[in-house]
Amino acid sequence: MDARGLDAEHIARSALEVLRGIGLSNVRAAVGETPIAAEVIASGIGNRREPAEGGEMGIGTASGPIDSLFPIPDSRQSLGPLPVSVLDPDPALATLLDGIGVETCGELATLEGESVEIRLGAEGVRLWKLARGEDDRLIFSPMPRELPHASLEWSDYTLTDTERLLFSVNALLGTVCEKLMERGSLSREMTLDLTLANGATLTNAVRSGRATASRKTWLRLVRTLLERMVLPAGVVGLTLRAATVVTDIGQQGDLFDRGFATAAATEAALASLAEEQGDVVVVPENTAHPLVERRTKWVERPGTGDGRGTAGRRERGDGRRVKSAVNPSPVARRPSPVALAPSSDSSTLTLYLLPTPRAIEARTEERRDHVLPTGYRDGGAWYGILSAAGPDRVSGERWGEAYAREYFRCIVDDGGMVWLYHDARADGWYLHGWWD
Amino acid sequence: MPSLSSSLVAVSPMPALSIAALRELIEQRFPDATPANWRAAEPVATGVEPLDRVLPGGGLPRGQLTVWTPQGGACSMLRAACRSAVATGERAVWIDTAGTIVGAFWENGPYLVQPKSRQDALKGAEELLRCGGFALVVLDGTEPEGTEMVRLTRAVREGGGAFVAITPNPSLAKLRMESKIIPHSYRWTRGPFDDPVEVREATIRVRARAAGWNAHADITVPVTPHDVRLSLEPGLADRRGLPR
Repeated sequence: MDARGLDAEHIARSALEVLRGIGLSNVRAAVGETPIAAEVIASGIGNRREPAEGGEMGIGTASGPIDSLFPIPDSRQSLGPLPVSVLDPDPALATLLDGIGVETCGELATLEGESVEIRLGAEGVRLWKLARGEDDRLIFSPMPRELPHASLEWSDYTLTDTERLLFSVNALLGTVCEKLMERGSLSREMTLDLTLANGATLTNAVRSGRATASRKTWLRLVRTLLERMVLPAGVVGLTLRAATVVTDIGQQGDLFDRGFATAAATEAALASLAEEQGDVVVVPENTAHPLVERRTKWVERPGTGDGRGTAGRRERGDGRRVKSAVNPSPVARRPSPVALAPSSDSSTLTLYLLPTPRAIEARTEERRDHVLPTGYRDGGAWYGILSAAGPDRVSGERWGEAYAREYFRCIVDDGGMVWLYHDARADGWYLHGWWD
Repeated sequence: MPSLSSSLVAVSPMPALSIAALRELIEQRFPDATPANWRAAEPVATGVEPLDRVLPGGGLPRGQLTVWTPQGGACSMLRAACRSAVATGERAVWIDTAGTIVGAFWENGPYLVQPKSRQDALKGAEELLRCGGFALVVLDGTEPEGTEMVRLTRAVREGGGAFVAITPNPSLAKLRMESKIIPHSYRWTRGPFDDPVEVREATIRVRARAAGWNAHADITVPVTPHDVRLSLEPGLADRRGLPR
């Protein structure tokens, strides 16, 4: 019983009365300055006072007002005459102590701490501290703090619309994230319970790649969850709780290392971008479609905004620098036989495409079995073509929208290189791209 | 100036701060101890040696606006700069408003942002510049004007990265870049009929200008093979497929 700051004697007496009241006998109570002193005295080995009715009360060490009532030896004196066995030593250690002639707590307490550590080890040091009345054991373990949570219920209506649900979740997130920040904590996982009108409860875990207390990040993750969810009934209640909470102790690293120091700010900026504009931070997924403009599907860059980004310094707070310049090639469903990535250690002229091929007017000349463009008009201006390579013929889509194109790479008189094609089906010329 | 140890001892316990805030605090308390590489860091090297040789300081200036006139070769140089920034452990982002990047030729080192509108591009650029996490931000396909340019200039000064806008509008630019592919510099692989079949390389003339200073460099770069042909022989033009 932790009676620090209280009337210990009164509490001890009251405790004995309570225990007697519930029929317990042979109960001992002791008031000690440290747990070990009280424990030894209460065990009946140490100093005793006359037994109280239904129990007895002893005193180990005490201070303050109790001084006037009981003799108050200090801890060392209190345990001094007692045999070492009251400290319940390990049998091997007990033998060792016996071998070196240490029989009482007092004798053990008078030894030098350093020599005890060398000769008797860690267990010996623990015993030595107890013999000196040094006991830092907690009588009560600290109560675990309740994890931040918030809930909302309604009965007049049910919700199935994602946006309206998000509106409510946003309010709950505000409370939970605020509590997290007050505690100096971050959450790696949250649990969202949806109480349905049919009485069922759907429990969903939402995880973030990096522990965070950012309301925006969690809202985005919850939005992704809700958008994918099919609700069997309307929702009449929400409970949101932080499931995995870690202390915001920060990350170890070089404060003046730009990559490390700016990781959090970068994540926040990217998350904000994703929140406001959607999936705009993208990577390509390439296929081997013959038409370049249909070859790529742009998908959200993995980890954007939730701390799992991969570029640059593989930065996310581990402080380690990744020296590789370029991440592995974009995800390809099928290896593309025609696309060759440019070298990463030098600049190269690379093809850029107009979002939609632009119709142009072209001048041509015959060359053996085909025609070559010698000039074209785009936006009212004529461009002369110094040389042209081609045609590179592409056709396909028997079942869909068929295409048949003859591509030419043309050097224009202003120095640029453009990509023109002749649509053989519609008999028209188009500007499709350029090298830059 | 007080000694470091005594001043550190005097700092009272603080609530959890962001690293950026902590760094600011240290800079304020120990202005003389601010590392030389902070906000006065070396420019962002483009990784193209002939270009870095002519650029002031050896690269694109940090905390400043650089304008690159959109002519031939700008993107190749800037993409090399992005790769170079990533190679040195920093981040780079390319804002592609017009959606002209070809996925098959994009490498995943730098970030690629494809905003849906001009306004989104400008807002995104400002946010990314201001966060300070990117050594290089390239804005392509959007031409900021007037107050937009002022806002972006302010943001890049706060963030401390290098910012290059590919635009013909040079206002507020610390460094102005122009590039042009020299028309007769292309080198071709020729076919059996002496027709040009494949471009091997071309030379780009890059001109850099700042107040009271200018320089230029001629840089020969390879051309990315982009083959869309169905021919099995890469050196031969494909004559199959279409009836004439």
